[in-house]
Formats: sequence, structure tokens, C-alpha cells
Amino acid sequence: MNNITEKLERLLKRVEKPGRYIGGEVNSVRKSPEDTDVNFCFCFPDIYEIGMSYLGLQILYKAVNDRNGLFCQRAFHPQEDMEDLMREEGVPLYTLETKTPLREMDCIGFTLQYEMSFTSMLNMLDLAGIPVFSRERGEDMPLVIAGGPCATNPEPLWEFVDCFLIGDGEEALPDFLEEIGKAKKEGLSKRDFLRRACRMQGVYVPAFYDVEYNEDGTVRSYIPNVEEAPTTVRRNILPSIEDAPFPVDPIIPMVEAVHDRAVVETFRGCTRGCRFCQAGMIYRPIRERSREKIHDIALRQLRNTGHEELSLLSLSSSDHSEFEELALGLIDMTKPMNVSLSLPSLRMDKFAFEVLDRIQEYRKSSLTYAPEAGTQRLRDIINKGVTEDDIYESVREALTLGWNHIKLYFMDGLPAETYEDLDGIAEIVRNIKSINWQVNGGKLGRFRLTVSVSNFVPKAFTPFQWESQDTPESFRDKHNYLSEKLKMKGVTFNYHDDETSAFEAVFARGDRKTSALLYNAWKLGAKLDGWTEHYRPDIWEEAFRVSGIDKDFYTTRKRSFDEVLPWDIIDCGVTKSFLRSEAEKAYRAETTGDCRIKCRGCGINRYVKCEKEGILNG
Amino acid sequence: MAEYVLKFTKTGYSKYISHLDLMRVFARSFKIAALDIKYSQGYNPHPRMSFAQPLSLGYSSFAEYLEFETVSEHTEEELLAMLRPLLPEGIEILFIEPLDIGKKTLASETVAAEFVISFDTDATEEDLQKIMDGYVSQPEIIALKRMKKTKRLEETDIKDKIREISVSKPDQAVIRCVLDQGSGSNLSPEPLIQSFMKYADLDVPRWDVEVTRRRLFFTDRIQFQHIDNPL
Ligand code: SF4
Repeated sequence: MNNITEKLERLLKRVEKPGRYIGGEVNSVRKSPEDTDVNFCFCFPDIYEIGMSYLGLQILYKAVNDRNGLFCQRAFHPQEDMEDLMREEGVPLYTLETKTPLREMDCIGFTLQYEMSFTSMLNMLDLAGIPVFSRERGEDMPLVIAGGPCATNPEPLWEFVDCFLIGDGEEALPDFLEEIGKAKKEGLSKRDFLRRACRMQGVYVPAFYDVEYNEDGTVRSYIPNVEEAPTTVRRNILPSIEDAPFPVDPIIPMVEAVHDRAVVETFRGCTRGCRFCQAGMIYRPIRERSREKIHDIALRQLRNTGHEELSLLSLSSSDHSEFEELALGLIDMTKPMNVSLSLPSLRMDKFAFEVLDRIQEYRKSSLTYAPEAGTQRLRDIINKGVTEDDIYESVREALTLGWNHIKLYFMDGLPAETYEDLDGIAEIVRNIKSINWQVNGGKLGRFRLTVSVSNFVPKAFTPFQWESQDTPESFRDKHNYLSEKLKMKGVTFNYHDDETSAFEAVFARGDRKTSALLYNAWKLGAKLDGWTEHYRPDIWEEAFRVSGIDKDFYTTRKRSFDEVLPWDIIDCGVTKSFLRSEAEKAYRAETTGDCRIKCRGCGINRYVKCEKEGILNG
Repeated sequence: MAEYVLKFTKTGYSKYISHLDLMRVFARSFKIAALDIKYSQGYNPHPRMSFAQPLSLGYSSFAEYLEFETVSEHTEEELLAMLRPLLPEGIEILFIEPLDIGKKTLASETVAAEFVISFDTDATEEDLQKIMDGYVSQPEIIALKRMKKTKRLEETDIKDKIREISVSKPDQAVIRCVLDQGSGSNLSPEPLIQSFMKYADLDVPRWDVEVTRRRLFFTDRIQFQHIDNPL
């Protein structure tokens, strides 16, 4: 019994849902740390129930544990009651599998899914007794790495993370860990190891670059300070995901996770090219799993887990090239198993209704549409290829078939947005209401319409990466305006917090200087910021003050096309010139079609073949 | 149709799995094993299974019983082979056997349970035994007990619900007791722990006290084929 085990007994009796902190779940992996070359801990900077719902964890857990000599364990951010007791009783953050302190690992890796989890990452390091600053960690401390979508602009975390793994991780992560194993045998220092590792694709070691700034605070240049460091770090791209490791026996969470269901990734990437969407750019090109493979994985997962729900994962379910056969096949499979099938981000066309009709359960739920903007002009600017007529036709069909809850998603604060575009949102809502009126014979009936508006956050590696973000005041005015406009019977209006979007925006396009903001916010007590009950705007305001960071420089400032951007050090595959031409087309309200019709020249095919290029007829 | 009882342990970290989560664990392992478990009728069918006595979160146990019904008959070996690999660490199946008790349930036939309560203390075994003698010879043993109806903590006499009690100190202090447990008369170890500590003037935080259920006692109507002694 190690020291932690004994102390844990005293803690677990005092906390809510102790099942989060014990591990031992069915399908969790046990290896002997002593007989392992490299001990790795996968860290999710949020609580157990959130982290365990995240498919990427299960994928990488398997990818690493499938290799001999590597052992992947897990750690999550504890809830406050547990954290307080851990600090009080001196229990460092430990791995769920073997209750080993994180600081005894060879390497720990954080997944960065959203900017608001950055403070939790620092807090987890601290709870583990690991200095948060990379430069303060000696040879006895684990190597701290990070990956995930937010790592595509890694700079806000440059002082805390030793090395980033950019791009697809299924092969890159275990390969990287094996390199650590070799370096350990050779007795290399961490720095010497990193000098070697930075030659691997997708490996970014911030310490190997010096950054020079212009007088106005923008970046002048990145200068490698070791000869091994590449001038840009190219994202890892799996040419195909067909045979990539995928868990058919995922860990079954002990405490009910947010999403307790079987999940299969049907494809990665997207060809539509919405100009605000980071995922649509950084996961290019589109790579599909075959229908047979998806079917096989789904069946084995369901058999191995007893899950009662199956969900597909992709940026838009309907875009799989064999979606119809796939959906019908999955219905035939799940029906007799009493498993409910969910097809997120479904394009609501004729076929979708047929499918939903056959999945009876859907009768009870709502239908979702995401026009994103209120007028055709603005939808053209953001390149959201959907027309109002498409939506109205589909809604009419839905209401006729007996659905009565419609959800609409919009963004506000988009580039070139005016109040006319907000009026457009209200117009769409009115039109849908009157369609309901017609369908329901002049009555409101049980009709409900939920309108959700989220604040536009300009993201790195999108055509809008140069754009200015609205001020919190402007967001507030727009929300108030919409609240008034949408005061209608049967309509609910939701919107996001005005302040958090600004913090997200700072980190989404932050340079190295923003790390001070992050550090100060954490020092002042920020953590689990994604949770309303933990999020403290006052702390963040104070952190801005203390760190002397000019918020507007990162949020509302429009960048010029020739500015050196902090994330230019990363090559995500899509060229800057393509992004720029997309931005310029946006200014002219010109659209760019789907690249399954014809290649639009984004540049990713310099590195990897686009298997779906031109498969559709224009 | 066949009815079975499954006896299992809940030790190590598995004692922190809540009652509800444990239900899910079993329901799910039946499902994965593709066992033809019988489902309840009604709008939201759930597998027909129930625990003899729920166990408080944080208690270990060597004597948990789960009743369940299947559509067809199975051998014990078959069921063991199916279910053993599907349970989390610390949940060990001790035996599975057919159960034939008609309309009765193990819950309704439970009468008492044996608990072992252990904690660290400076007091010697002799001291502790003296204290225990005094504690049990009180005309009434008053403790704060959560009332079934009002859900409030109220002072009551728990003496007649304590069937046996003794203390020893092999290493830690160990109170072994048999308490009423069941639908008729029921006493959780919690009021006993609290009133004993108070009587003995011992300042042991509750989280430093370990409780283990070692055995459940049933009415004579329940006779297992397997030897049902405590481990
Ligand atoms: S290179 Fe062409 S086909 Fe490939 S993702 Fe880019 S635009 Fe689409």
C-alpha cells in the first residue's frame, strides 16, 4: 500500500461522488509501472464526468496501451471538495489506475479542447506538486506535453508546456512516447531529448524559439535557437483513418458520464469551408471510415459495453459519402438491440426525415437548424451554404410530421454584421412561426422554438483570423436588442455570457505575452472556468490589470494581412494565402463551394491526398 | 424462468461506488454478457434484480446479495464465467445459485447483519473492554438516529436493536456487532458509532473509522446450498 492509498481513504469518505476518484472501471487497463518503459498519464483538465465523455481520451488511451512498453493512465481535475481535501491532507494528484503521483510519471499529456480549461491545466500541475513553469521543472519532473484543437495556437501556454504535439495523435503520441523510452535508456537529458524530438513531425518545443516583437507589440519574427528546430512545425495528418486505432472496448465510466454512449467517428475533416469554423480547417482533408468498418466498430462497442445509445461523431453526419446506406444499416442493427441511434448535426433533407421516421424515439426530441446568420448576405460572407427556403421547406415538413420543438442556432458579432442581420434572425423566427400557424390550423399548439445565439470568437487558422471581435458592450446591446425582438409566444431566446467570449478570444489568438494573464488568473484562483459556478469574471479582470495585458489588442484589434501571427510557427496544412483569399472573398460576399465538387486550393494536398476531391457533381 | 442469488464482495476502492452506480454496473454486465435477464413490465422496463440490503457508500462488505431472474435456466459455472470478467475491481462473485423463495425476497427475509467497525486509538484493549461493558449496561443507549418517516435526526434508544457487541484490539480497535437489519427493525452502524465514541469520550473523526459488513442473517426460510459463512 503506498502512501497515497492510505491517505485517500480519509478523503474519499468525505467527498461527493467518490466514484470519480477511484479508477478500476471495466476495460480500464492495468500494467505494472515497474515493467513499463514509459509511464504516461493522460490528463483531462476538467472533471471526470466531462473527460470520460470525450472520445479522444478513449482513442488515445487505447493507442498508447496497445503498444508494449507503454502504459497510459488517466487523471482529471477534481471537484472543489476533493481538491480542498487533497491540499489539506497533502495528497498530490494521482493516476486513477495505480494511484501513482503524477510527478512520478515519465510524461504527462493534457488535451486542450477549449480555452476555458487552460487554468484547470495549471491547477492540475500544481495539485500534482509539479511546478507550473517549464523552466522550473528539473530532470526529476515528468515531461509535460499537450495536444488537441487549442494546441494549434499553442503560444498562450508556451511557458507551461515543454512540448506540443500538433495534429492527429493516434500514431504521433505513442511514437513520441517510444522515443522517450529510447532516450531514457540512453540517459539523455530532457533538453537533449527534445532537441532530437523536435525533428519529428508535429512536435513544437516553444523553448527552441526566440520571439522578437515590433514596437506596436505585434510579432516580428520567430528565430530558432537550436539547429534542430524546424522553421515551421507541420501538423500530423493521418492519411487515412480507416485502420487508425479505435476502441471497441472503451472504459465504462464508474460515475455516470455526461454522455454515456457508444460513439464511432465516421469521418474527420469537413469540405464545406465555413469561414468562422476552426474545425473545418484544422482537420482537413476529409477522411472517411468505410461503412463496413463503422458498422463493425459500432457493433463490437455495443456488445462490449452494453450501452443503450449509439452516436456518430463527425462535423456533419450527413456528409459521409455513403450516409444513406450507413444510416439504414445502423438502424437495422440497433433496432433489435433496443439501442437508440443518434445522428448529430444531421442535414434535415428528405432522407433525414425518412431516417428519423424509422428511429421512432426521435418523435419526442427536437430538430436543430444552424443558419448561423440572419440574412443571405451574411450567410454568404461566412460561407454557410444554407438558404432560408431550405430551412422553411424542412421545417414545414417537420411540423407536418409531428415535431413541435425547433431549435435554431445563430452567431452574433460576425464580421460585417449589422442590425439588419439581427432583424433577419427575428424575421426567420416569425416566418417559422407562421409556417407552424398554417400547419397547425391557426393555432400555436405545442409548438416551441428555441433560438440560441453564441458570440463569434475569431480563431486561428480560419479565414476570419484577422478579424476584430465585438466588444462585450456591443454583444450586450445586440443581446438586448434580440431579447426585445424575440419576445414572442412560444419562443425562447438563449445567449452566452458576454465576458467569457473575450477571454476565449484572447487565448484563441494569443501570443506568448498572454501566458502572464493565464498565470495570474490561475494564481488569483481561476479554475474550472467552463463551469458557471466556478467562473469568476472579477478574477479575470484583476488578472488583466496585474499582468498589464491590453485586452483590446487581442480581441477587438483587426490584424493586417501581412502581420506575423503567433501561430504562423505552426503549419496546419491550409495555406495562409488560401485563408487570405477566403477572407477577401468574404468582404465581397462571395461564396466558395464544397471541395467535394472541385478543389478550392486550400493547400492541404501538398501533404496528403484528398480522397474526396471532386466526388460530387456541382 | 429461473431465479438466482449472487453473493459478492465490495472491497477496496469499490466501496466508493454508490448504490445507484452499482445497480448500473450489474445491469450493464448482464447486458454485455447477453444474459436473458427478465425485464419488468411497463413504460420504462428495467432488469428484474434487487439487492438484499443496500450498503452505505464507503462501507466494505463480504456479504452482498443480488437476486435476479432470467428467462431460461443456467448453470452456476456458466453464469460465473459470463459475469466475472465484467465487474469492476473489488467486486468479486463469491457464489451464484438458484433461489427458490416464491414471492418472498431476500430483502424481506433479512433480519440482521454483522459489522466490523475499526479505528486507531491509544486506548488499550482493557480500557476499551471496560468502556464497552459500561456502554452496554446503560439502561438505555441513546443515539441520534435518522427517522424513517420524518427523515430527521432524533434521539432514540437503540439498545434493543443491538443483538451482539464486543470489542478487541488486535492492532486497531475492532468493534464486532450484530445489528437488526431489515424492513421490521433496522439499525445502521452510524448511530452506534457516534454514540459509542461519545460515551467513550474518543475523538476519532468519522472518516478514520472503517466499517465492513461481514454477514447478513436471514430468516430460517432462506437456506443456501453454498456455505454462507463470513470470509
Ligand atoms: S486541397 Fe482542395 S480538395 Fe483538398 S481539402 Fe483543400 S480545397 Fe479540399
